[in-house]
Amino acid sequence: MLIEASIFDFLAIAIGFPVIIALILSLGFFLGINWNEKTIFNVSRATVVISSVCALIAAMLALAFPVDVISTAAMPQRVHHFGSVTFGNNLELDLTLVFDSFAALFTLLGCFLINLVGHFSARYLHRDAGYLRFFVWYLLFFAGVQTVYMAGNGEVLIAGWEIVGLSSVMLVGFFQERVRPVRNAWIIFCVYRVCDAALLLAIFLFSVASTDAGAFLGVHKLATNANATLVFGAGICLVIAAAGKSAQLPFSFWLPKAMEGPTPSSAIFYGALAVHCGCFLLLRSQQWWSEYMILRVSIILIGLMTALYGSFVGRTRSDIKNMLAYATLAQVGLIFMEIGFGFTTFAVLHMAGHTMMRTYQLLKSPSALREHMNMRKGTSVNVAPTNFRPQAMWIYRLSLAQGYLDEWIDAWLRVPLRQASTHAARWDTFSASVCEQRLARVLAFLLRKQRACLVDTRQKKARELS
Amino acid sequence: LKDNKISANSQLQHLHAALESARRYLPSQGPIGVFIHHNTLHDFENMTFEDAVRHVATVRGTQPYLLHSEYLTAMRRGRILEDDLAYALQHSWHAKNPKEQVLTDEFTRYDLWNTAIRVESDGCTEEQIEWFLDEKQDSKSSDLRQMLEIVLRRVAPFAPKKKNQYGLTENPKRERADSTLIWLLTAFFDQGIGHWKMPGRENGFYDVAVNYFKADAEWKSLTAEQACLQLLLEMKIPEEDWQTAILDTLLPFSGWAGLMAVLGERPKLASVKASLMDFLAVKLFLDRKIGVPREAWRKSVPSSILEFAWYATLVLSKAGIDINVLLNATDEKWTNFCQELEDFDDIARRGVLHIAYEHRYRQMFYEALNRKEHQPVHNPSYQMVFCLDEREESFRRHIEEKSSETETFGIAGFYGVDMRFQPHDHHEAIPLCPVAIDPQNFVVEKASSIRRRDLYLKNAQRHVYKGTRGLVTGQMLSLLTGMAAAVPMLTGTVSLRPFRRRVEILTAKKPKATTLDVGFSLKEMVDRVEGVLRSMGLTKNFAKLIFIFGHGSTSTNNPFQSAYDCGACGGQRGNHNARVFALMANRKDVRLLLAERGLEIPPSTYFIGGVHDTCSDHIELYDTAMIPEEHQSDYRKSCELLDEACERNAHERVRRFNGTKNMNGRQAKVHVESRARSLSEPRPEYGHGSNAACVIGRRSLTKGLFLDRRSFLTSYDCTQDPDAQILTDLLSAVTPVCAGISLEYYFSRVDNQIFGCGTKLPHNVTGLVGIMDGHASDLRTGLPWQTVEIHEPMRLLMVLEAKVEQIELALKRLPAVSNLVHQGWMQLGMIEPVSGKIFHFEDGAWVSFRESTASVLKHNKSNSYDYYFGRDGHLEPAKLSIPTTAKKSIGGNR
Repeated sequence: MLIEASIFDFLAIAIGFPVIIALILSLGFFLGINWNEKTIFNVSRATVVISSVCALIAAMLALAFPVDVISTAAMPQRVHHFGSVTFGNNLELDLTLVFDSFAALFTLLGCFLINLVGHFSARYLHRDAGYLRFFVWYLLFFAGVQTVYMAGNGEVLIAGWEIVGLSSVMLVGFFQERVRPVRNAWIIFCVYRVCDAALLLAIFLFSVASTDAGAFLGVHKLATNANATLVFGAGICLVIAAAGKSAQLPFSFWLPKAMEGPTPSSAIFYGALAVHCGCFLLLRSQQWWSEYMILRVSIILIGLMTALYGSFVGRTRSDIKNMLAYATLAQVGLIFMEIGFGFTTFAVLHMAGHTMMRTYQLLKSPSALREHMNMRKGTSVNVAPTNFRPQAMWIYRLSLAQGYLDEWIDAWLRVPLRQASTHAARWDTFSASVCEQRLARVLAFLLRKQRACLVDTRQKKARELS
Repeated sequence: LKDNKISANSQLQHLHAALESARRYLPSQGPIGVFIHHNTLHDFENMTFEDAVRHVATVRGTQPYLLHSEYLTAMRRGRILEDDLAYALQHSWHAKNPKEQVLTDEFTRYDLWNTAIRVESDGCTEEQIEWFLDEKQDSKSSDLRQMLEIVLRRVAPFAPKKKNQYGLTENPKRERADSTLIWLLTAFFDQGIGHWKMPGRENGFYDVAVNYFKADAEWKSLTAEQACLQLLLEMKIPEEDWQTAILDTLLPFSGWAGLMAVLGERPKLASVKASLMDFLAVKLFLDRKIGVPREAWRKSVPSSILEFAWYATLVLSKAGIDINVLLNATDEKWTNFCQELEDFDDIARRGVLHIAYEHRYRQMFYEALNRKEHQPVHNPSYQMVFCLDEREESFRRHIEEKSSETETFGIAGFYGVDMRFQPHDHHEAIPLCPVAIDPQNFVVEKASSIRRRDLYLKNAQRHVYKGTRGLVTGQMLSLLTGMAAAVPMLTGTVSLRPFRRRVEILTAKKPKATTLDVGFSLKEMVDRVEGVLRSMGLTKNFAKLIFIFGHGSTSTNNPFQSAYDCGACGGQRGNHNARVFALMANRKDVRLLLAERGLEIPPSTYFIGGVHDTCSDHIELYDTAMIPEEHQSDYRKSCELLDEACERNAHERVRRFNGTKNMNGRQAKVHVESRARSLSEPRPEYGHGSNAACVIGRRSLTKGLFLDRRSFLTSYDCTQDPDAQILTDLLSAVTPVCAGISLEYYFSRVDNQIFGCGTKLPHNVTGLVGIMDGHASDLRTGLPWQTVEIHEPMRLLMVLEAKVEQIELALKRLPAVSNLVHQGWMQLGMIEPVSGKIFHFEDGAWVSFRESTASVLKHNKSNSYDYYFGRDGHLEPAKLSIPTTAKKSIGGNR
């Protein structure tokens, strides 16, 4: 039990420490401390290293001391309930972390990449005005992504999920002085809010369906008495949330737009960790949604469509970052398919390898020019673009236009939503004015009544006195 | 019908003329794989510098000079002195009378100007002024407030009513259309990143776009110029406004449009059929399609009287003018004052400060050269020839400090060898010479053996490169090899020094033994060797070993690598030129013919070609196996000398970088090597960031001067050049390169957003031709902030050591160079070779240099190390008293 507790204490430190340091750094800034680059970097490096070491120790402890339950897995699942926070009478939030080989693998992978990208950025961002801003969001992202990996229940998951989303958005809009990055960050923010809402709804439906909230992230088996319809509904919301976070169709348009920040942030977020969060969520909760054939088929179809979409559009991109973004889309689509088919191990390995490879490719994207020149030396393999068959011109056109996805979203989602919101606002003001009138009338009535009462009582008293 | 035809023809002509004149405002930078430094405002060289920067500033909204606040900071730091301001004001009056009264009897134009240049004029918006008035409550600000009230009342009727605003307003429709256009453009220009080649791009951009947008057959049948004409007529724009209309259309896409124009003019640079007319037609067509009304790039908007009055108040209060005097001044005086302040606007103020800024450096530079004794080397044991590049200045200085018997020379780094060079592992020949020359001779490098393993490795690399983008191949590769990416990522980012040293020793590639097939005839070789030696003045006193060094720069993850390479080799490394030159000069038949022409190279002299890496400070020598036995001991000694010089040079360089205090020579060398190799380094070196001056003259004149890597140094002996022919050749080759570098850095520094390409951090390599910011943007041209941040933008100060007659003769033969000098795009100085007196070319006359009265710090340091160690920023040029033997090695503990 002691080992158990200490493993999770280490994990709690791994998650909590970066948050505290990020808060201290930003608070110091608001209090007027002019952090210099060296301090910022050294502090965040120390933080990330300490928290990675904690995660590593936890993983080693978990490996060294197997749980009592006889299990064939190298690192069986451990669950730890830290306690719960109660709000009012009936809102109780549990803090539960779960640690198993799956969580450990991704936590350690995340630690490695985050350390590396931190080291990279320290030099890369030297003398940039947003140095502090970058490292604060970087620390928060680290905490968020670890929370997602180790979350044991919906409440913890949603916290990490939100932090990951927010920090991604803030780093896409890192160059605030230009319009495009900010607008694209805004678009991504909107997509993320949609998936946040979907995830919240999924958690809500699930907890209504079954009293055992732990089953949501596969901590326990789902109780047999759960309401199947509600669980199915939760499944649909879950797929929407995962697809949005992992930029699957129809949300794919946001991933290339995210290439606005500094190169290292693009690498770590959109080549690597953030974009795979959706896959991670699906794998975690696989136990219960895989019962529903429709969900599995829809995940496979979404994955297949995205893979084809990414692959075709990617072939027409001729700038390195967009090309890598679409290549990432295609691979994440494939991972979705693998998950849908139930090839769990395959999907996990694919995710890990892809994360590593894409981070590297994005980090060295500025060398595209030199690389290509070196590649052209010698003769035997052709790296020049291939000629396109003119018969299939429509494919090229469709791919170059990114499948008209932006236009499609505009016409079917953005414009109707905006109209709806305008209507709602109008209705709001209208109803508000009606309400005000009503309220005023009621208040006046009450006041009159009260005054009348007062007058009454006074008269009564006067009468009594007299 | 005939009339119609004639008018259509004249309209076409008019369209071409308008486009041609609009084109001047677009950047003319080619694909960045080969980065050629050029004057950003090349097309305005027929105007004076001041007029050109002002003109472009009013048309495009660019910055003409540094910001006013930057000059004020320079004043506080002592970079601009009172002397310089006095000089600058004196040279800015032109036809105006400085003594004229502007507001009161005591307040003259001189006072006004002299005060105004000291009052910061950028960044005071109405909100800021109101904030100041609301928030500040001390006595000084209440005085100001009182004065502002008066000034505001009096100035209101006379203040300027209009000002210019630049750029387009936001419009979601247009932005959507812009994105589409960007995708079309990237695919159209792509030279190899994309998987598919854009179909039909060989028919030109207009054709591609018309097909893409599925335009009516009517549009398909038109040519681009007909389409432009039709669209312009449809918009009912009068002919005289066409140029403005075209400019408004093109400026939001200036980078892409500029690339279209450049590739249209020089189709050899990339394999696309580009033309600016095509692009204009597409842009106009698209504007019409989305139905957004035409919008002017430059708009005249009401200007704020408060801002004007505020600035006037600040100036008046700084000048110490009494409020009562202001109250009593007549309306006429106020009109006069407003007019005066409007004329002496922000640009004019900064122009004056800029002259002062340049003047300070010039004074320091001349002071260092003034009464400088020649320090000739009588019996040189080595002679080393370098590129004239300013980054070699420190390297040469360190060699000379270490070994006083070594003589160094500087010359344009292609060593007269204009060739197409085919490396052994490349299937096409690249031109290695200045861009102005079209080389006719081929040199082919041949590897003695091709290792099969290399070939396999290369092929595997290529398959991985392509495969990771594919669907199934990408899946397999990320599954099987994805994790392996951790290794290069680690080694490229984290410096694990001991580990890496070991890896390097294990994997050290021996330079492949290659031979050269030199495609020059004997006469051509003799011509080239003679030309170079005579140009440097190296005609006698030959040392036993003569080293010829090309230069290049190694960096990783840097799209601008070519910008750091040798400009005289057309933005490539200069190693092959040096090697070929040494091979030529070593040939017996060449020497025989040279002797016939009166240039006798003794048989004991041997040439060695090499290359100096300006980023990692690494020296590589070629064909060392062929060095004769008698030179071996000298050669070994020289290698030690070069190694030591590399360390010293690295040590001098690292003082400009972060976190390098207290390094010794060895550590500095390791540091610069790590910069060259690191994936995460946006500043592998500062490139030409420190360039400021150029000296053409004997090295003995500049030897022993600490010029802080800021001066191009070209060797030229005027005593061997009676008819100024050598000087003419030198100027015609050197000026475009040096002035191009200087002006490109100037403009990229003063307006990094429009002339430069902003910060490197979000850059996105596009189609191998350029870079965009992030996801999608206009093509960014010029130099990135990380390269120019330390640059002091000044026009090149070229100092010639020659007689007046020689210089004037040479300038007369070179109208282009003469134009640059007369229109003030560069500064020209002269050192009288006999007396050593310095003259400066000013307003068409030679003015003798007078030492400034302001005291310049006199340094008494014996070597570079003592002078630079522990000091930041650019250092003033200084005379060093070089001891006969080098006393100590850098940092002591070696």
